[in-house]
Amino acid sequence: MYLIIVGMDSVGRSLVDLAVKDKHEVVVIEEQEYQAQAILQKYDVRVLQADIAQAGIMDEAGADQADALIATTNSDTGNLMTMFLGREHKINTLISVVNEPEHQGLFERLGVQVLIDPELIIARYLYKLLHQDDA
Amino acid sequence: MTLKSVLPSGFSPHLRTILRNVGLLLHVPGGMALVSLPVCLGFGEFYAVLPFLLTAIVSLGLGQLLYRLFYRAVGEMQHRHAILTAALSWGLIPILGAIPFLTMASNLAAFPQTPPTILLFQNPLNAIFEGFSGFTSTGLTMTLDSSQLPRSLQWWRSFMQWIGGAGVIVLTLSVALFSPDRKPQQLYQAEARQDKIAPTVAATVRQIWKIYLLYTVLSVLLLDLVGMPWWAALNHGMTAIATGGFAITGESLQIYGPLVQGTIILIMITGALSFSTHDQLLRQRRWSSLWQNVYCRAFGFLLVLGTLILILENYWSQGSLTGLESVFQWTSALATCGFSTVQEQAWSPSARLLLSLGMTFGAVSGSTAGGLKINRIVILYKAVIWNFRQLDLKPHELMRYKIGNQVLREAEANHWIKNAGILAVLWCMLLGLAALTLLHVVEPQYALTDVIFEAASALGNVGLSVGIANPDLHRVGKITLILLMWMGRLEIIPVLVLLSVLLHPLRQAGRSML
Repeated sequence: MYLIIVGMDSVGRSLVDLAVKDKHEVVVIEEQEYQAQAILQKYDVRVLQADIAQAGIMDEAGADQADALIATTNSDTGNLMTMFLGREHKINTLISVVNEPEHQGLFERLGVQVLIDPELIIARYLYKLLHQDDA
Repeated sequence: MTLKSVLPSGFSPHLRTILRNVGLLLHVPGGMALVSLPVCLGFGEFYAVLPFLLTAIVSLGLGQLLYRLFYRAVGEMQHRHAILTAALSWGLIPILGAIPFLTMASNLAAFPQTPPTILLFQNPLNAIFEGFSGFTSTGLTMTLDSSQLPRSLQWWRSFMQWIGGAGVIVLTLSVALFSPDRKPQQLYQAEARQDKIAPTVAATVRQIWKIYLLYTVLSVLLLDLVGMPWWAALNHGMTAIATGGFAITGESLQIYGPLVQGTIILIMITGALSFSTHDQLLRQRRWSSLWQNVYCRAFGFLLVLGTLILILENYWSQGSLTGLESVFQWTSALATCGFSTVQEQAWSPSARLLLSLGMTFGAVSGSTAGGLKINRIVILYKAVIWNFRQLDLKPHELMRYKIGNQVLREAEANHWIKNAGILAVLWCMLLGLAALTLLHVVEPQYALTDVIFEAASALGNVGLSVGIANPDLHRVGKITLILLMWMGRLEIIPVLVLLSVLLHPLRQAGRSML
């Protein structure tokens, strides 16, 4: 699969790791130089160091041949824009992290699969482990 | 009046540190001469005792003098110091190494049955040439027939190359360890990581000696096993692992059969691989550690490729298949060893040019080999690839600089490319200058190809020869080759730094006169 992943915080990095291990073709878009370089040192992926709002960046990333677009930044604004651009380029699978639960509706109206508040998910999981120990 | 008070005040602390270290290193030929005494006694060559004693006295005396004058210099050893110490020592030690040749030749001159090949060393320049060819582990020689030399001199030639070979491994690996305190750390991390054998210089040097000694013993035993007489096995084992190439047969290794030649090829390749890779190989006991190293892989690739082209070339020009000869000469050239099993002058000019190219490339850095080193060739090759890839890059795309398993930062990559490029340019300029000089002094039967061949052989510390390096060569030619061997061994730049330091007072004097 041809994946475009936007944002290289811990979620994005882990995703790149999994995708590269499964031999998917990965393009990364990351604004911060440090993060972009770090990914480049570690994985054989194409890295674009740019803001998603920059004109033509989706074309550079090869959006017309992409199978999926995944937004993982901690800014819902940027993620929403990413998803909108993905819809414009007719990318089949659109997935985004949603940091503020009240933004969920916005994303869903665009037809995006959402992952709400990853930290909440981790917290819930930890809490569940706690209960398993109780029983 | 103490010695210290007579010293000129212009001796800076830097110079003191360097001279002290040079003094320490001058003990090396002295110690070597003492170790060689049993060889003289064992073969009943009593006339050789005095020359070696003299060598020991002069070297140890000079060494002690410098060391005692400057032992108070406690200035920290810096990269620049290491470079200057190396350049100066490699210029002085070979001259001390010439003493046994010179003195023994003048001692034996009184006897009518002394073979002419010894008498030729009465000319100090011939003796010094042999010293440089020895300690730079090159292998060009001023002997007419090395089989007629006294055994003590045969031993001395092999011993110089063996020590010189170990010296260059120690030099490259320890200079790499000295670098970090001079430049931004991150720039060198990759380089240091790659060459690291042990955490300190001293421990690294010990480990290298252990491996080197082990390989030498194995080489000698192996050669003995495949049928070489033991004295020849000892000498050739030492000069093969040191990729030196001095032989004791008079006509290099032509006299031996395919089995011995094959064994020599194996030893030459061993000596041409980085000793940090050998260290990993011995620790992990897996052959794959050789294959995982991109430079060893590139060396292997060039060995095969060059051999194939050489076989084709020889088939084209001579009309016959020259399998073993081609493998042997090409390995000898690329590993910068310099043993030969044919008369190179009988091969076609294009075959000789091809060999010159191999001698210029050289083998893996951190080995006993000379030349530009495969590492730099790989970097320059990658630089070309990266340059093309950069044209394909999208405006915001970042470039990935990957060599082997290593991903470099852009600054690192550029730093490596710059250094490799500078050295390659200097190398070519020197080859050109030397060829120009040599063309004027060689006999008319030698064409431009031959001159380039001989210059590439000297600069790459190889020792293959089309016959230009011989006792009848004009003294300008001999000095040119000596300078090439010296500069090539130190990868040019240290010698240039040394020359610029030496010329500094002259320049200043010139400026004040204006």
